[in-house]
Amino acid sequence: MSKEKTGFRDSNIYPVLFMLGMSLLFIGILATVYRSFEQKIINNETQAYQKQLLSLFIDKIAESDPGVKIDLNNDLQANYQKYVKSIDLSYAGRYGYSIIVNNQIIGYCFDIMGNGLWGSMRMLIAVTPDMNTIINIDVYKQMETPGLGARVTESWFKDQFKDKLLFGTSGILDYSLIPEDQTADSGTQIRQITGASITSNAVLKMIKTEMSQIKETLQLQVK
Amino acid sequence: MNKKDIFLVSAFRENSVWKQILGICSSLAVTNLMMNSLIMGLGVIFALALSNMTISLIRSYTPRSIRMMVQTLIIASYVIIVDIFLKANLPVVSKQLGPYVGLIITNCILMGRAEAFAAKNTPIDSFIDGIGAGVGYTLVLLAISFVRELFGFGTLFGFGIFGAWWTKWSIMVMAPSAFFILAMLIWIINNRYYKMKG
Repeated sequence: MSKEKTGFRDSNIYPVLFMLGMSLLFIGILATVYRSFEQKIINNETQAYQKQLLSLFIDKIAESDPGVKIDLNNDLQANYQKYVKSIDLSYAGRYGYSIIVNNQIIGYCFDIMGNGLWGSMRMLIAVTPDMNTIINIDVYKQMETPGLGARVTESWFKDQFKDKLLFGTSGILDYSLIPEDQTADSGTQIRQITGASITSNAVLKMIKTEMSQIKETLQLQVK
Repeated sequence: MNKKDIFLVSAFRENSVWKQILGICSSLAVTNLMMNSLIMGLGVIFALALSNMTISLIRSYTPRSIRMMVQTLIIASYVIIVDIFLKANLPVVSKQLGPYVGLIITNCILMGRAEAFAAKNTPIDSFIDGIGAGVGYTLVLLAISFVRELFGFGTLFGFGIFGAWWTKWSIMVMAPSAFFILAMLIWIINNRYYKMKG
């Protein structure tokens, strides 16, 4: 009996079967662990997303609804339901939201995507009701190089887009990049991230292509 | 070797970082805040102890030719469990640690202990060895992050130590500072160790 066992262990098939068995066992364990935490992870992600979205509009909401103080840490869900309404973009993988205060739309927010250097980037862009001016932006998912491209999430970079004109009389504006250490004018100049021109360009390209597409889609819907 | 010796040897005498120079990458990457270091350390202790024990449990059934594949599979599974746990319960820390939790899989300490210890010893001893090596690693992370957080942010575990007058040393927040501190730490410890020997 023991001789037979040793024989089987020495055979070529044993390592294959052993590895297969181990893989199945550990995949099973991981699947069970993930399943049991799945809902919690999804809830955390949704909360972080809602918080990011509302924080883009926090100043605008305070302006339009004086006296209201929004605490994003405590009443996130209630505030989100109160101010944010989804809009149908009918546009693959993109989402749109209108922000409504006292029955009046104070702005739109779009969840847009584009390609960075290493992978896709996702960004929330808040615009005024006429969609002509950017209120705020926030890159919430990116795989860029830490210390270089990943600096798109830093506030000095994002803040440059605050109150920038997006659409002029002849359509969407072309932003241009200038070196990081220079001072940008109030028009279409954006200070790029040193050592990450591909990422900086990707952000501009993403805003341009996605926003013109979204504006077109929404205009068609209105017609 | 009794259980206490196993722990002491793997945590201090044969410390993975300062004696074997393993796990350097993550020692440099996650040590800008003490909280991150502590959680990273706990993750490593958990993954290391359990993977060591599991590898030891199946050591007599594991074919030699595929033992490293099996070890990687086991280590990766425990690390993914740590990652899932952090995402579910500590999402902020999970985001700060970013890809480094997943990279515990490639941390040489885990593979090193699996090969050097767990593959030849009993499950209980391997478990203790894993805890020891993990504690040794965590101590180094905490020592580096103590200096970095104190001088870089003026805080420890997020609590303000220095007042507003403190000028933050931005070099301490950046990864290169960990190179200097780790080098000095290894130098001090080795110097003491060799002096004692002499």
